[in-house]
Amino acid sequence: MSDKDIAFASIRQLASLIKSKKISPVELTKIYLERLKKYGEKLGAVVTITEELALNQAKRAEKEIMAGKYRGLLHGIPFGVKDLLATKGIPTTWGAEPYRNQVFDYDATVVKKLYNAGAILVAKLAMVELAGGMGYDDADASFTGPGRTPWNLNYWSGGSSSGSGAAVSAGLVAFAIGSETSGSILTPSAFCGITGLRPTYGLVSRFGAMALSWTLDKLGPMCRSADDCGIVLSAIAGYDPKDETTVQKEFKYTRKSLPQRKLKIAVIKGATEKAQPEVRKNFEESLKVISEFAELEYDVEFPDYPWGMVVSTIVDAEGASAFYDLILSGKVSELRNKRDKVGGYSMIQVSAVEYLNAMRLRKKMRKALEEFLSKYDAIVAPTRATVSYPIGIDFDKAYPGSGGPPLIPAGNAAGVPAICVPNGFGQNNLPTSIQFMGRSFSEKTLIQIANAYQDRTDWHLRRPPIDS
Amino acid sequence: MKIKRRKFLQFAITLPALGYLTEGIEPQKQNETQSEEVEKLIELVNLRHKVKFTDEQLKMLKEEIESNIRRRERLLNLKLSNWDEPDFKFQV
Repeated sequence: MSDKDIAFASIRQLASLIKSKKISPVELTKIYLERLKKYGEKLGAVVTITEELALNQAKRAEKEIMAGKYRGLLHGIPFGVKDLLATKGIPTTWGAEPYRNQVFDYDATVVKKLYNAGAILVAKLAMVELAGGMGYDDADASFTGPGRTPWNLNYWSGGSSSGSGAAVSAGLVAFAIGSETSGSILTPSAFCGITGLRPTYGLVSRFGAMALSWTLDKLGPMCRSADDCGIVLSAIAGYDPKDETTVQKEFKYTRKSLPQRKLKIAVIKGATEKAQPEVRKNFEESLKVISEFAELEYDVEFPDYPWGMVVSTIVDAEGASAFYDLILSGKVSELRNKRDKVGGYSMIQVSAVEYLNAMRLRKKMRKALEEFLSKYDAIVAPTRATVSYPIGIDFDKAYPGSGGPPLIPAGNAAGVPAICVPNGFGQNNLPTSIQFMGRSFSEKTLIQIANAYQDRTDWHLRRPPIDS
Repeated sequence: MKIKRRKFLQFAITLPALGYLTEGIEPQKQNETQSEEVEKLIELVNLRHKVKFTDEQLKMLKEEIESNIRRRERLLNLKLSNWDEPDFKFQV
């Protein structure tokens, strides 16, 4: 295997190479460090390369493995985290100039769990400043500059987990951790052609993660396959006394698993009505593949509620509270994106009554969505109605008139899980993607569905033209 | 100019109520009321935060506030029953 092949290998493949001592954790870490140095800046994907820490962790992993103490599939595997997760002694910038020199003296629970699994932190990855909470309106929204998708450097990597998406896609890390308040794992995964999993709210501890919206924020894996997402989720899920929203549930996943019966999947009505033609075509092709292992029910109406309005009210109110000091200090003017410099001043005006009414509506909407999802094993729709947005153009001007059903705000408002997988290419050689969403704690089923899809397709194995 | 806290509170406290007062007002007057509210809310930002906005920033702030007002009108018009509780629970 060449270094390039190794860089794009799956976690399961890498684990097999490490366990059989065909590659050492130090050698593997060096391959990723070299690629991070070579491509990280070009992609706007990296904030800090943690070389010293990584090499020390890799040496320790190597020693343990040589001594016969193998911790499991993530032992010796290099990874990156979105730069909103606290890492002891290493800057955690939240992607924003005012926090550029912020250093915590503890590790986020997710980081600690990955260390305990023997994984190696090679980079803190770029992100949209403050996870997009101030209302950014174009790709230039991080102090590290716009994130670029490795498929076409003139286009955005998506946000707000921009660096996580680009780094996984370009083979700069074996996997990454992203966060989602409303779309921040699924969007960059779609725009970078990788597989992203948004877990159920409460399954993964957020201790040590920047808070944008306490009732919406979630952390999850961004990988090159659904199987890899299962492996990573298995390591980071579980109750944490330091995050009281976590539930007493474990998620176990060691062997690649496939659906055990013919599953029932709903195809959302109007899912591609306002989608780009290539997105529509790829979605239709994907449905043919899915019908080989699942029973599809077509034209299913998605529950009609003001999902976007409720989510944006909650993000504005909770985000303004979380960043109250920053807004009052006037330091929002140091943010990069033009709209982020003013957004906080309107967010702060959302009244308590508006917030409470949004939260009262949310309860009814969440119950309605849970009831809807309980009829199916999953629902399916394109992840995004378009391919990635061009850099330098405001989002609303990029593809006017496009749109899709509100699965992203709905899924986030209800806190239910979703997985997205690449399913082809559209305009300008940019990836398209489909998402499967299910009821709370149905991650295993969603991973099985995505595994079955990826067993029949090779979109997730395609590599971006960055090395050529 | 130093902001007198009491004056600020008197000014601010009237603002959230405007949304409820627009029901039954004819569209033209409603638009006038809304644009008056936008101006007052921008004034409030200036009064409270003393930020020197550029023209472009002021335009964006106006858009943001207008969009929030539209959202608020829609949100507060959605029917809820007296006993509908918010989606979180208080625990001791």
